[in-house]
Amino acid sequence: MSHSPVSSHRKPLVIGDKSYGDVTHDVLRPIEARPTKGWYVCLMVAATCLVFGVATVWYQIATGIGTWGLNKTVGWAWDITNFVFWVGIGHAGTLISAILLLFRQKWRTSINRAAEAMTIFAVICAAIFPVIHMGRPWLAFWMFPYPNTRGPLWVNFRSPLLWDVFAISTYFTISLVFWYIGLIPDLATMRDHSSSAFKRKLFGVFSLGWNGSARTWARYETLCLILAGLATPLVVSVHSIVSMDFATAVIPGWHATLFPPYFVAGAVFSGFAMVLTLMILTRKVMKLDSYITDSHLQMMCKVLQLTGLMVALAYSTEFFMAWYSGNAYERFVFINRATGPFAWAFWTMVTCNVVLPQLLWIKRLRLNVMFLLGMSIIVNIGMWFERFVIITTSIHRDYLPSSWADYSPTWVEKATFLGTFGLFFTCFLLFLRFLPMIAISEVKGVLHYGKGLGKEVTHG
Amino acid sequence: MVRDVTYASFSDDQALLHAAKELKSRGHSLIDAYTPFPVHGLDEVLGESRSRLPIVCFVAASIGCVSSMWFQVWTSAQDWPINVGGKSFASIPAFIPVTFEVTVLLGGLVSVAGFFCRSRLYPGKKVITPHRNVTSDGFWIAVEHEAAKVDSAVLSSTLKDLGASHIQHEEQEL
Amino acid sequence: MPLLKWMGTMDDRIIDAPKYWQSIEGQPVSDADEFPSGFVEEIFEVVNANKSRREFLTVLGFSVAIPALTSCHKIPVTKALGFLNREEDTVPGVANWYASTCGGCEAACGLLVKTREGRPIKVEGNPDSPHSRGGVCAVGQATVLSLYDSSRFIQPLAEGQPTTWAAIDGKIPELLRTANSQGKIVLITGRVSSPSTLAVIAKFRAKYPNFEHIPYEPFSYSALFESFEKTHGLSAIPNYSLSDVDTLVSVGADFLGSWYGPVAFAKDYSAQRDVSKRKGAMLRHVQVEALMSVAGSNADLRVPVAAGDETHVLAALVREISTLSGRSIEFPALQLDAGLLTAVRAIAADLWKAKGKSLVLSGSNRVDDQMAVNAINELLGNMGRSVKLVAATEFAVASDTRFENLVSEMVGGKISALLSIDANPGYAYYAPERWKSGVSKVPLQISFADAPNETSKSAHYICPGNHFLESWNDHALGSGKYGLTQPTIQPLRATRMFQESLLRWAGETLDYYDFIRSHWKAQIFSRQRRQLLFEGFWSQAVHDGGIDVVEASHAKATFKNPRLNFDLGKREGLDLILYQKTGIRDGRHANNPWLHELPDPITKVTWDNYAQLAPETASKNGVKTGDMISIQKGTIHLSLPVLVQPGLGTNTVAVAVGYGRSECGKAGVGVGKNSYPFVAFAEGNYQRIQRGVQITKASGHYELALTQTHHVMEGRDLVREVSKAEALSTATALHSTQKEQPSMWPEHKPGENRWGMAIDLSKCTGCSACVISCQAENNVPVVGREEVLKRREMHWIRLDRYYSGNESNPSVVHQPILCQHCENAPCETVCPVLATVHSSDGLNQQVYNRCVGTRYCANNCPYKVRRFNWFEYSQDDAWGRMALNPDIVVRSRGVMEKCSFCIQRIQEGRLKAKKEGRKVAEGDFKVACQQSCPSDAIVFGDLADPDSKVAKLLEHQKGYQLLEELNVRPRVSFLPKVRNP
Repeated sequence: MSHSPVSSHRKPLVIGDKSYGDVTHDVLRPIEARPTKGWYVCLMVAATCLVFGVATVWYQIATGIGTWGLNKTVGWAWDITNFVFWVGIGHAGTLISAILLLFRQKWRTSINRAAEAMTIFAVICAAIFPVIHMGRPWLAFWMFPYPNTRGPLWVNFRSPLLWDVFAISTYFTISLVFWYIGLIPDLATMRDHSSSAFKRKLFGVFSLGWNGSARTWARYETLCLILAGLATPLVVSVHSIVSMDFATAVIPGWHATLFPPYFVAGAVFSGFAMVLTLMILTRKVMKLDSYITDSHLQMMCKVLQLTGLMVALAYSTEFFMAWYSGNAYERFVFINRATGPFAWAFWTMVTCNVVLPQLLWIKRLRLNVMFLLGMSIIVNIGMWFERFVIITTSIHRDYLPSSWADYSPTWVEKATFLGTFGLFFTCFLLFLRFLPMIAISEVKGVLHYGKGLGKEVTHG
Repeated sequence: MVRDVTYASFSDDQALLHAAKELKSRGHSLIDAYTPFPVHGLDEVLGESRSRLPIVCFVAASIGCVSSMWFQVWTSAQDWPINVGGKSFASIPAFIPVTFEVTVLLGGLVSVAGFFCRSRLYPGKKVITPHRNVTSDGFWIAVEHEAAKVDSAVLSSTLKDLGASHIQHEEQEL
Repeated sequence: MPLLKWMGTMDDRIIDAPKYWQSIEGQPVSDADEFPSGFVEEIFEVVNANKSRREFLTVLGFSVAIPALTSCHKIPVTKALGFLNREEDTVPGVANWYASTCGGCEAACGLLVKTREGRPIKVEGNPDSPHSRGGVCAVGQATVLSLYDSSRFIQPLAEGQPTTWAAIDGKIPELLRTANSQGKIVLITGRVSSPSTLAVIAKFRAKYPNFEHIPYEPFSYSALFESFEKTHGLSAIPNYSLSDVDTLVSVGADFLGSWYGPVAFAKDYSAQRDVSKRKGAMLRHVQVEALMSVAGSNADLRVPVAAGDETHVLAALVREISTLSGRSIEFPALQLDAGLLTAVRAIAADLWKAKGKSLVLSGSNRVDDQMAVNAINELLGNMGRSVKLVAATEFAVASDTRFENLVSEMVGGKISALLSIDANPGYAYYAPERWKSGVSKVPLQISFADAPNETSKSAHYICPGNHFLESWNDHALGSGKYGLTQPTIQPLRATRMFQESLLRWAGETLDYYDFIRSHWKAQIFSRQRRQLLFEGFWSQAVHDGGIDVVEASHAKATFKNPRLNFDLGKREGLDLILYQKTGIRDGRHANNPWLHELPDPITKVTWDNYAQLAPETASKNGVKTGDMISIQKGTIHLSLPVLVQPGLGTNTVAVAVGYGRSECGKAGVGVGKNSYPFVAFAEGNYQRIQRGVQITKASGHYELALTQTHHVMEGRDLVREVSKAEALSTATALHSTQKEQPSMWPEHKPGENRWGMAIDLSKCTGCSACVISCQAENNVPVVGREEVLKRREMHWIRLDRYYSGNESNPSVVHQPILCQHCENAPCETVCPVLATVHSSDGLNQQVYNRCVGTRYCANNCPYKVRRFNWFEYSQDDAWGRMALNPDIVVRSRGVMEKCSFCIQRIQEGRLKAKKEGRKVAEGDFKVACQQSCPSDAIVFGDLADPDSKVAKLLEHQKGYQLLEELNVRPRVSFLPKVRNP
């Protein structure tokens, strides 16, 4: 057996001397065993939030969007904030599965499946808001350019909102497909591994008769590369387009060419924070510490730090440009941001996204899992506020002082947001329960990575 | 017509790859190999030619690109031109985002479809596999056994020498 | 089915029905009895009861049918139903216009009433009207909604029981006869300026000699009227004209807001201030006042004083002028601090310079104050020029003393019958308890009120009168001018004009319509030369909504030195001033939601009255806007939320009257608090300014529903101001500072027309008539206080009001903001579904039924003129919906809306031109805001036509566009505000 030279600085990606069979067994265990009490409790909580959210949205649609706290000046607030927030979270999944794949980052294998799942659920949550924030959501289908009896009257392809429609639906479709392609071999594994005839049948259908043929594997890897190659620019485009909702507007504080990169960085920042949160929790709940190791967390910390700094740079650039432009309206908006009625939101954002993440430079803290958990949550709070600050503080005091107005959310907005969290975690918990949350075949590929036994086997 | 297939399983990917090379060099014709994860090099040994999926993808993507741009221009400037915000009817720069998205969408979906067709993967397909463990920890190879050339015992011993743990014969309808 | 039965009865009456050409509605409204009470009640059950939406709509359909039927009840049924063969001058879908006279207040402005399918839906100023000349104020605009007020009486009531007019007419006369024998019969009315009505009352008096007619105005001008008797020895009412005035000094008279006749004033005012038209001459306006009034906000020099000092300023002024004129007028020593004195000296000097071309006004209700004003105007030689005295022969004006005596007589049980119309002492009398005890001693009370009010509450008989849009009437306007009111619809309910009732009870057979005709034939026809035959004369008068005859004899006035008393007692505590708001006025319109939601031109508060304090006074008392304070004067106290008002006189608290109604429709009850109890009867008149008022901070906080919460421009170039000199200079410094910016896009080829608007900021007084006019024209919904608090008011045109300078006496600008119809409209680009797009003639169009409500357009609008239907706003009241303009879609929930440049009117004008085979030209149509503007600040027209008024205006007068640096290219331009320091 040929042994490849092993560089000392490489840490093993999977801890403990696991055989291929062990991997299969370990990953499938939580699925085949009865769910834990912890899982049930979590599901109950999540489902309750979901139901509450659904009821609220129903009430809002039945009564009118006036049940939100918006007004003639502030036409968007929590709705679009939540939209951008959730889309942003989604991005980490794609980044891990696509970009890291292109960059041959082996450590992604243990977390990409869950991260992709997160992406899909997050995008679902995001997609809810552009629909329900409408005055007449039942006409949302008018957003699509389909032949109709109104002329046919088409849609306005110049509107960033329409770009959103295309971006989000494409993003969702591609992510879903990519995720499923990745699942096929594992579905086959489940098919062959499971004892119940029903499950064999079920997984048999979804695994499309996968038999691990080397010839198929070869094409499979090409396909993965293609999808990765497509998803990478896609993920960048999606948040760029989302940012154009604001960048293309005439409103001071929105009208900024900086937004696309700024938003993408922010998206990855929040996305990785969310992945971190989920991974730390699931590896505990699912007892998968040997697959999602501390070094995985460290890797994610690095990305977090990097993107965090990018975001910080973007904040300061915004302020600099506002001053440098000499545009009175721009200047006012940013002074108002830091000192106006929403200053508290702005400073929350700065604290959570710029100040506190600097603690990650301290190794001792970085290695403390509970600290990481807290930090990841803090970052997501901060990122939510970032979007809120950008959207609301810019429009609530724009050009004509006569129309300046304040904004405060009603319980409906809050309940709706809570509801999306319910949806997200319900989906994620069900995913943990019924699908392998770690890409079995991929992990097997890197089983011996950094251990010196066996050549590194990778695909992609 | 039927053919006589010999399946052999190996301890791990390296053993499988080694055996495959050996068998090939000894003139055996390899039908396929079955592994829980992709083993690099196997495809060359099996004589699998480079996949043409990228070409499929490129073509599909180009179609998506051109057609979506055309559609936007047609709807906004041809079919029902409306003055929107003083912008010209065919506001090309504004049409780029949608064009890009459609490009990606078509490229992705068609490639996947292409993959399924080429690899004949579809719901309800009968699984042809030497053993259930190919999706867990089994590394199998399928060799065509031409009675005319070699005696089955010889083939089995060769395989044993190469480290095969199990060997099984099977008659396959072609 | 009663409806059919009723139609049947209509049929029978057709044959012998007389027919007048002026209007199908223009029938003598004599037979209101044709409503079998059963029928009307039936409608009301359905309309008023809370119904499910589906039922509601059927009700709506039905109730809409009512005016359609009533309006043409003299026409066979076949015609009533869908005009199968239509009645000659009513074309479905085409408006009929009728000249009439406004009943919104005493000013009696000339109106053109627009009816559609027999329903009055809009009132507009009549350009031919001799005194109002085309303007109507917000109140006038809103009267059309009161017509459809669902709280109006359906039919006469006897002791609270529904009855018929026949029954009433059978019963009342004998009751009156007994009353006449037992005591005095008293008729209280508002100010009566209708000669025919006075004649009717005379007839009534002839029948019941033991009778007195006492006009009553809660916010009375009696001191003004009485003063002329004292200074000029004749009972007269003044006719003001600014047409030749160069210096105008108003001491506490809000002549542009609510005082006397704001519309007529505004016309001349803006004309006299048009520096470019008048070749440099420009009326200079000085306002000395405690309240920050609409007039004050337009003044070139505004001197804020404590309310009580208004009197002393007049004193100083009269002294200065008399010294200048060398004619000495007696009065005690001045109580005025040096600062004010010097200010007054300067003012006096200005006035003296403009001798004969000046005018002094006072809003005071002290006879001595008004006498002082008369003296000043006399000495300045303004009498007979800017102030013309009209002998009060054709008027009956309120006299506070007489009313006060009446109340004592009532308390003394001397009044046997009390008839009331247009007067609501039950609400407005300052001592409610006294009034109650008085009323309780009156055995027979008859109210002619058309809707329930505090006075009609106690009445034994309710004989509901008509809304003026259902009535015939005439108005003496002084100096030979007469106005006519003609009905534009049959009474919606079984009501009839009170004159009608009086005639019946006086045993007259003539109905009021014929009565007016006969009166005019006898009294007015003879005084003109134009028409030989009365019919021709009458037709002309009805057609024009009035007539201008030779003034019989101009009142001869001889001035005699008055002895004046300016002693208000010593200064202690705060001064209280009660004032009228532009919308609600003295409270008579308190059930009109349009007026409640009309932001006050100055404070921008809707749906409330409040205690205004100057910033200094507020901080001294440690209160800020929204804090509750309790105002106390003797035993009377009232707790109100504070509104800190820059420019208010120090040591002054200002409270609006007209709020806190307890008896009126659902819109008005419980809105604000009633401040009339603070009125005091002193020196023979009702005093609205009190000294020695205490305020104490009360517990609690109350959010006032403001439509504008930020009051300064933040140094932004929004309203440009120039001095008179700059305005005249040919330098184009003020021309749009930006030169055409380059565009990334090739221009679209321009359409045949390029509609555009110019708004002259120096003409706009902020009176807000345009706001209500737009609301009426475009079916803009009322959203209520709660929604306004959430900043969701729906007005398509708003007036931004900004302060500058120091807050103790800021200078004020009013800026009307409506959709700017940008050529590069940011709202259009962002709409995903093409719900807002551009028309070839440059209109930014909102397509309601395409809108899905993303609100992106509103966010991206730099002017924030887009309004969103957060809820289903437009379905309140089945009767109110009859005021809807059928040319305008009623917007549903979840849809964005905004100013459309009155596209329906543009279209109307276009069609008119098309029929005549020509291009649409100037004057084919006017947009609603433009039409209603009493000061002609708004000009709309075709920018593509170089000869159009708007094009010329922008060419010659330094127009600029708002936020032009954004290069959105607005189609609305502003002309800078010119001040005359």
